Amino acid sequence: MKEVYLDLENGTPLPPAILEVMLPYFNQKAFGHSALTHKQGWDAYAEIQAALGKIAAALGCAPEELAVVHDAVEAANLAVEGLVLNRPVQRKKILLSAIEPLNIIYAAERLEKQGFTVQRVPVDKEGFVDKAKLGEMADDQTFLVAVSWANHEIGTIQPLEDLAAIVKAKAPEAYFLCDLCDAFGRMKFDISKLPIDLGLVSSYKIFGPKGVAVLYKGHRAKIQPLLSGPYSTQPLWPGDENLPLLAGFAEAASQAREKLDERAAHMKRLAHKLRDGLLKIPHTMLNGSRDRRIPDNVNISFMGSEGEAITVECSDHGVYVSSGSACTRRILQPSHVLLALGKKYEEAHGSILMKISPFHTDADIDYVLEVFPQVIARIRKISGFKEA
Amino acid sequence: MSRTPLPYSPILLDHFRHPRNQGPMEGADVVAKAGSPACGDMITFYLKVDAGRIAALNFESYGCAANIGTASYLTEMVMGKPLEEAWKASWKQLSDDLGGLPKVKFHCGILAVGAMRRAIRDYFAARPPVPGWIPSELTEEEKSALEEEELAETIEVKLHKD
Repeated sequence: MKEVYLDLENGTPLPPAILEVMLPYFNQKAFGHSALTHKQGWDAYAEIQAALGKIAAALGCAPEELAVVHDAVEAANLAVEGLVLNRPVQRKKILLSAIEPLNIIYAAERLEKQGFTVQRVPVDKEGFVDKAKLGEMADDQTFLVAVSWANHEIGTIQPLEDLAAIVKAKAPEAYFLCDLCDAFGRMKFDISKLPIDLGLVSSYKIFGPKGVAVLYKGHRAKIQPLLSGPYSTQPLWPGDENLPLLAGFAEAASQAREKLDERAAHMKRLAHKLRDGLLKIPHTMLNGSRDRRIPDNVNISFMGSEGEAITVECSDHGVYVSSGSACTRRILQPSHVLLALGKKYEEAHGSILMKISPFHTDADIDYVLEVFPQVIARIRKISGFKEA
Repeated sequence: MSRTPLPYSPILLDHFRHPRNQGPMEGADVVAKAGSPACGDMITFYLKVDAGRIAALNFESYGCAANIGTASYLTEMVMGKPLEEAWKASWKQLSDDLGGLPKVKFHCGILAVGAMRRAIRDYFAARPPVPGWIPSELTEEEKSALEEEELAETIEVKLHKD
């Protein structure tokens, strides 16, 4: 059976070329501790600096502006709590776009115990942040504003400059936190030129290994580490550096930047093919913006079909996707992102998220388009959905 | 909020892949729905009774694989049984027979049993007298279905208001 993995939101396969870069670091070179005074230690230090340098070059910033962490959850917590730990904060308002990823939401909500209030800035039906509302909500009590540039679930690209200008005018002291996990490798930018103070970038989303990410911090953002431990090259996240992962991330980041145009064009073409093919199935709708959208994201709701059942049925055909339904998320709440767009619960329950990689082929998409109508027909037959 | 693993047993997957007694039924004595699409969870049972026994029980399910699998299994579990015996089928038994439902899927078994009991209760409501083994108060499984429906109504009202 042919297999097509489209659940790139939740995990990505490591390309062999990246694995090849990583393998020698496990047992052949630079496996010492970077703080030690022998060859393996010096080599480790040098290789870590080289990897950080590559990641920084790919992101368009200085290596000193990056803190290496394990994933976007840690990056979000380090950003939010690290700011608060740095010095007492009088401004206690945190504004999140209503479609922020859960890692940002949970990190921000942890601060509620310290007297902060977390407010959600509404978005329109395509997921664009309501600028007027942001202007009303941002004020001199605002400590932090978080808006992802490209939404992880619906791919909507926010007008970052406009939003940052509003925040700067209304809440000049506020820090701007931006999840860039879905922007990097899909959009061209230098992170240091973006109007943000803090940014998250995850390795696996650009086909690097899982378990490594970076937090970018601009010159305004002073943060303290959340963990205490012996000094390593990473004062903000002390502990043993994982050089194999870092080296893999660095290689993936370089490729993501170097091959951006070619990859984005490929992903966009296949994503449009998938989107248009799936929308031919009756009673379907695209979630998010049609035009201002990152090139790899396809999110479609299938009415009369519960999303988890679709994922299981697709899996039986070798097609792997995820859903914003309550059941598939295991937390028994449908996607807060889709609900924030004003989608009905049934639309959220029937949503399927798919992402295209630079490595997918036309044959992959043809297969998915062959499988999906059968899957939806069977699930709708079981649900008794009337097409009329 | 933590996530839990979501393993499905081979028997549950078999019922999902090959649902038994699935689809609408002509000439059913009772058609009972429980749950709501807004909650992502709805089961419809079509019940036909002959001489106090379940002559046929078909289902439709708008829900996850566990929802479909439990409804399918339940139809086989009670087929041909006296209504009183079918009434006593428990969601825990259903879960055990299916190799243990994942914790977050217990509600699927509860909804399936609640929907079937609603069908049996409706059957007798239309053909009194109601036998003594049907309690006048709703059972926990029936209440659970009702709560889900009330939640769905609240959601609709909220959406409409917003």
